[in-house]
Amino acid sequence: MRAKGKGAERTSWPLRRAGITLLLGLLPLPLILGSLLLGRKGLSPSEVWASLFGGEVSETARALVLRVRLPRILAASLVGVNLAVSGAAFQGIFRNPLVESRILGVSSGAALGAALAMVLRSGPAGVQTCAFLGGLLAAGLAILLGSAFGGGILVLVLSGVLVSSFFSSLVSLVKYFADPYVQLPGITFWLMGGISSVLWRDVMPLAVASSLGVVGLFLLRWRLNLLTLSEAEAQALGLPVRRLRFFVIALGTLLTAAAVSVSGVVGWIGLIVPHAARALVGPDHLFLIPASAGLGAAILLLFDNIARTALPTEIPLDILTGLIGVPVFFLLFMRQIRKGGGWR
Amino acid sequence: MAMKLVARGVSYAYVPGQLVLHGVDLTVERGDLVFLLGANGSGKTTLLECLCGIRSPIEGEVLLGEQRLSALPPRERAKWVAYVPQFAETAFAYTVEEMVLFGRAPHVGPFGQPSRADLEKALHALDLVGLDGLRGRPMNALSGGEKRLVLIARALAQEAPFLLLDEPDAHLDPANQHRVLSVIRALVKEGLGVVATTHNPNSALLYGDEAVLLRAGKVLARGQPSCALTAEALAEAYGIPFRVLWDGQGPPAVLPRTDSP
Amino acid sequence: MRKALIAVLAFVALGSAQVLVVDQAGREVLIPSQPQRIASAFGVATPYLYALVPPEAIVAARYLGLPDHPLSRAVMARIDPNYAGKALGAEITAEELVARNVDLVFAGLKHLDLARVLSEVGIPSVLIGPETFEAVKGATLLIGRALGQEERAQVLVKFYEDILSRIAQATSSLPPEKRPKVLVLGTSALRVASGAMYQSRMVELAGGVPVTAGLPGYWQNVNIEQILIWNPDVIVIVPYSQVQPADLLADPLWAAVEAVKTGRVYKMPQLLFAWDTPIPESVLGILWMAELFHPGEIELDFAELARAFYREFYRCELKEKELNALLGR
Repeated sequence: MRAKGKGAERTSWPLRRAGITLLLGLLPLPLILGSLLLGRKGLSPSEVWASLFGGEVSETARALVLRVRLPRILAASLVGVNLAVSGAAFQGIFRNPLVESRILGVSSGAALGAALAMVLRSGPAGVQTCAFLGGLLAAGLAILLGSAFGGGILVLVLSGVLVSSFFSSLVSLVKYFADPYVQLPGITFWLMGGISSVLWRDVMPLAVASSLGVVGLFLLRWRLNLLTLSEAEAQALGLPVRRLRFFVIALGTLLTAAAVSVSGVVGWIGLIVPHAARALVGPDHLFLIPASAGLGAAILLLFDNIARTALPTEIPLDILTGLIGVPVFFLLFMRQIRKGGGWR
Repeated sequence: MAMKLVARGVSYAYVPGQLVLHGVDLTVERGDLVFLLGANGSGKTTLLECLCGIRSPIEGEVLLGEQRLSALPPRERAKWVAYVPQFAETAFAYTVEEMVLFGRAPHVGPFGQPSRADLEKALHALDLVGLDGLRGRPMNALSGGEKRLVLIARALAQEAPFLLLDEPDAHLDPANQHRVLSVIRALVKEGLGVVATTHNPNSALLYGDEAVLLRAGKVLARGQPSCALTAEALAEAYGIPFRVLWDGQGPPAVLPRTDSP
Repeated sequence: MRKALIAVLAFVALGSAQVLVVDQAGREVLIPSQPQRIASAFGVATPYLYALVPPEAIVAARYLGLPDHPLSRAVMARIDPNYAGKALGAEITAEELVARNVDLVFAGLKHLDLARVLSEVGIPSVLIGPETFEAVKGATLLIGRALGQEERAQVLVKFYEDILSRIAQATSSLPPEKRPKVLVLGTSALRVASGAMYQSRMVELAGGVPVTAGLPGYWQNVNIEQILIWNPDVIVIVPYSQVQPADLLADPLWAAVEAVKTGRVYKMPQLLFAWDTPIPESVLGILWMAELFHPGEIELDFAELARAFYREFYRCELKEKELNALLGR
């Protein structure tokens, strides 16, 4: 009895997939240049050009382009890369395309780190560092808990949910005691996500984290494919499954925590982008990782452009990604239910 | 070059105190097709998993030739013993070719990717099971029998001399059953050593060189299938009466005995 | 300290009259003299600005909670005819301020990030965070100094201190038995102002005892049982709340509360700016509360002081109807 076939034939000659991947990977570059033209303060293309490459332009315009817009645009792109690539990695590890890095509680941990840093009145650098450490702590705790109870996928997911909830509760506790005039509004706005105050010195650590995480995961690209098989199969094929899983989770957490520490909690990108990338270039991580990176950068950059130019006021990123993300997620979910697992 | 895979006195328990395997001995040599039978829960799958090294026996040992299997790192193990589980679902739509390529894992470095040579070996394995025409097809577009054969091809791509299969004939119509088992038979003739579990004694009688019958984690009978799988042995293993039928040609067949005349 | 000194000397040497201030976030800010285009990104800062500079100098401001009432609009329009076009939303972007050619920004302590970005494009920001009466005076003086209006700021501070001390005189001699227990309610009936907030300081100065003295943090949600335990004598509802006194008086759950039994549930009136925020005008709020807590005992002419305040701070003469709206009559 033949199952109803679905999906196009695909052979190892990857020209088309490689082409699409290349396109997606390079997509952010023109978008970055284009985004420099956008902003509440109207600047002409020649002003932007002159600011970048030298020429007659007012100090304000040059400062706006080089010190306000450019770092923010780069940060938005990198955050998109991080969230998308870590999302792809986690979807592979958990063998579920409806998962993103929040599953291990990274976002809650980062939020707690940031909240505590704000309560202790540390500067922006301190907040970023503490957010990053908090994210790693939460993921580490979830993994430890999961390993203590067998280390299987289901237990890991449950541990992640527990850790995430626990850390969220701690954040609420911090808010309860926070100073009402300074700390609390700061914490609330941070939680909603927004890279409105990114300067050059914030971009560097983010770029380092992105490079480490993306390169590391790319090196493991074929192993990541293997990890989507059942644990028994992967072990039988000679893979050190627990160790590999640990490294992938560590790299994914590095990417997520670095992103969250700059932009606050921004949801749905890590879930939707790898999904879309997989539909375009297939599940092989050789293509999926660069495609997710490019698409993630492009999409988050577009969202951030809206966040900073649509209104005189900052629109929190999480609200924008949620408004689009939730209906898209719902459509994807319904599609899966109807096809009885049609992502396979 | 190891010529046999041996389980010696292997015991295993999932829950401490509740043994699923009690001191089981099993030997498979290259060029042999051994069928493992027994009622549900008699320990067949567990024994297979011990034989390929993904579970460690709590007593006894598994030997590859003279060497303990557990002494080998997982990657080396996978070059010697391949395992095809009964259920293999992937969460993502890999193609047949990609799936078979996964079998090259023991031969590909940790940060690498399969080479052109690996691809050729994978395609050769696919050819051995007769499915080279399906290389670009997504896995979820295949029938049950075709999927089973692809997984066997993947195991073959590992180039391991020993192959363990968990119920390769399950959930297949008679034609597909024959297809799968005759491919396995042909591979055994080429020099592969195979252990396959089955719920169908007739598969062992038709294709096997040796049958091992398990009951409650212990070996009840062992030997040439038509000698080991007597009506009495089967009745004791499965708890219902059997009768053996033989029409004078070829191997005998067994059927459960029903009460109606 | 040395840094500041050198900076001041450098600029004096350059001949340009710039001012160095230390804002309430502890930041040293250099401000160009005669700023022409001022913005207030912080609702609390807006009334200070209107008190210290002519309205033409303000190009953008956050008017937090300006009531949508014809009298309010009329008064605001008299103070600043173009105010409607200047309104800013919350979380304004730095670039928006650049687009409006702003040369000086006043913001709150929570806007530290905004200040960082603005400094990248050369726009100075002064951050204020008044949380006590002293800090309100400090903010007034700070802003006055930043705008070159130090003399006027001194006058205003003296006026403010004057009213404060007169209220203190009237209430400080009151014995504990004569001080009512007061609960301040926020945006909903079970949302109360904690003991750490400015509202509680106002209640104390007005001769009341805030029941939430032990409660930490920001606005907190409580349940009716806690309210019954506190059993306040007077309930004050903030002007921007959805709750009306009639709601509580008619609610059977609240019937056992002392304040409800005696009908002493009041909503703070608001003409322009909410009195429960740390702005100079909040003295009128304290005065209003003092009269509620100790009717007939406060020998201060509320109406006269209110008129005088508006005249002095906002340079605005209130008409009879407007005054009544301000005083909640």
